[in-house]
Amino acid sequence: MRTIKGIPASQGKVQGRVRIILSPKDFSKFEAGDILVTRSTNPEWTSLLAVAKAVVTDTGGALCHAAIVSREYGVPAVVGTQNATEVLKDGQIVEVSGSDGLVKVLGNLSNTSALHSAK
Amino acid sequence: MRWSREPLYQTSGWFNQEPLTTLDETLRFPVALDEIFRLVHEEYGLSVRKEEIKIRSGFVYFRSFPDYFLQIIFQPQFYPRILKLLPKLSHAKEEFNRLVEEFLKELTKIRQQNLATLDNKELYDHILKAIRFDACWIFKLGGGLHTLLHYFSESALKVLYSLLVKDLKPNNYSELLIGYSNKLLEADKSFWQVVQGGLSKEEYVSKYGYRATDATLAKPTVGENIEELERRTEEFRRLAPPDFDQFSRSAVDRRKKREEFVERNFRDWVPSGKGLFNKTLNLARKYITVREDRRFYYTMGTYSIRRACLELGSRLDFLNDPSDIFFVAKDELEIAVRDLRGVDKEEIRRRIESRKTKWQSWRKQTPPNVVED
Repeated sequence: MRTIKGIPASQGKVQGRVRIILSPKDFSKFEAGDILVTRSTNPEWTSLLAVAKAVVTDTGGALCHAAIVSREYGVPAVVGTQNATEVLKDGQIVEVSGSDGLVKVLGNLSNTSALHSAK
Repeated sequence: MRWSREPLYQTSGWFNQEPLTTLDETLRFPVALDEIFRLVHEEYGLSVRKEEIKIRSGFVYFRSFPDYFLQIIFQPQFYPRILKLLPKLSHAKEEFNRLVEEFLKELTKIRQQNLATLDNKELYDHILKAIRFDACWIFKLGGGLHTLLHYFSESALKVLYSLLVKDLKPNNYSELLIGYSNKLLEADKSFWQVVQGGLSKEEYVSKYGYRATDATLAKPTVGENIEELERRTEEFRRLAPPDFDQFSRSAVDRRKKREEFVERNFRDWVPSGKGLFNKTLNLARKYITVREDRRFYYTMGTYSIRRACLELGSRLDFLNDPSDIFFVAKDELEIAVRDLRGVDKEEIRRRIESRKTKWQSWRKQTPPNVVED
């Protein structure tokens, strides 16, 4: 099982579907309850954090924008993974542990058991 | 020599995700850094050299982080200056609020400047003024005593939490600081009000729409592109709106639970530990809104620079589009505003196209965290 390590930024453990968003143009493919995977978040993006199940970023530290906003919204977050946007793929089912700073790949959307456990 | 982007990632996470353009690199950043470093020296006696920062393929790097920052704060002249500031400690928060009011007043003035009445030379001077204005307020709002107090109190709380609370995850201290509203959360909530039709786009734009969302002047703000805002609100309409009141209640609940956890797991054997911990916690809470609000205000000055650049760009007949000005170098711009006849238009158009192509290729790259010379 592939695991990505980052900085624990906002507590909580959830499973869900990866949605890689690299620019505001990608917002349209985001569904409520997706796991937002992005390079970083800026003030344009935080409105999306409010409907995400979890947040994973390539850059950032414990006091970066994504970390602080996620904590306020109670959304688990792992930041500073360096390469989550390259390693993860849209539709994959992952488990995000914001307390440990870990993102585990559980499977793909086509994998029924992974999807079932994510739900 | 080792160069790192870590200082940017630690604090903002989003600044300079898009590469800087030629104008950013040759005019905006050098002038802004000169202004900030001048103020740092004036206020704290610290010397900071521009050579410690470099831009590679449009991305900003700092020399030898963290050594570079340690070198800065360990300059002996810093400490007597800090001692002089001690009497101001008790009203640093009020001073921050006063500065915000002054900033907003000054910002309105600079935004209301009628650019059409200025000739090209005056407009160029106005761009310089707007860059210095932006830099000066980044320093005042980000480098004042209120910021030092925020950094000090939060860092001290983190250390005290790891020493005095039986918790294997020391970062949990941050849950003691949640549930306090700030300008960034207010802006998010307002955006969702627009989505739900409870707030007009115009009102949202006037309050929050002219914030910069990256370091480069080339990136338009939401307020300049109402169609994009409309498209985005339409897209968000298909998502169930978040319950911000619930977020706020839940954050307060989690904070209370963390307080109870601290009560149950405090290492009581440390003399005066509890008193020190509580005092530090109260101080950190007092300044926690400063941490977020200053980040909000930081982003508001850039638009005045961008607006003036675009006005000048619309007057320079060798540009195919006003936004091509962001790919003109400082020296070229200075010649153009003095006398357009001094410009080899074909040559400059060729250079602009080549810079734009290079910039577009940089945009597709993820900059490495660390580079070596």
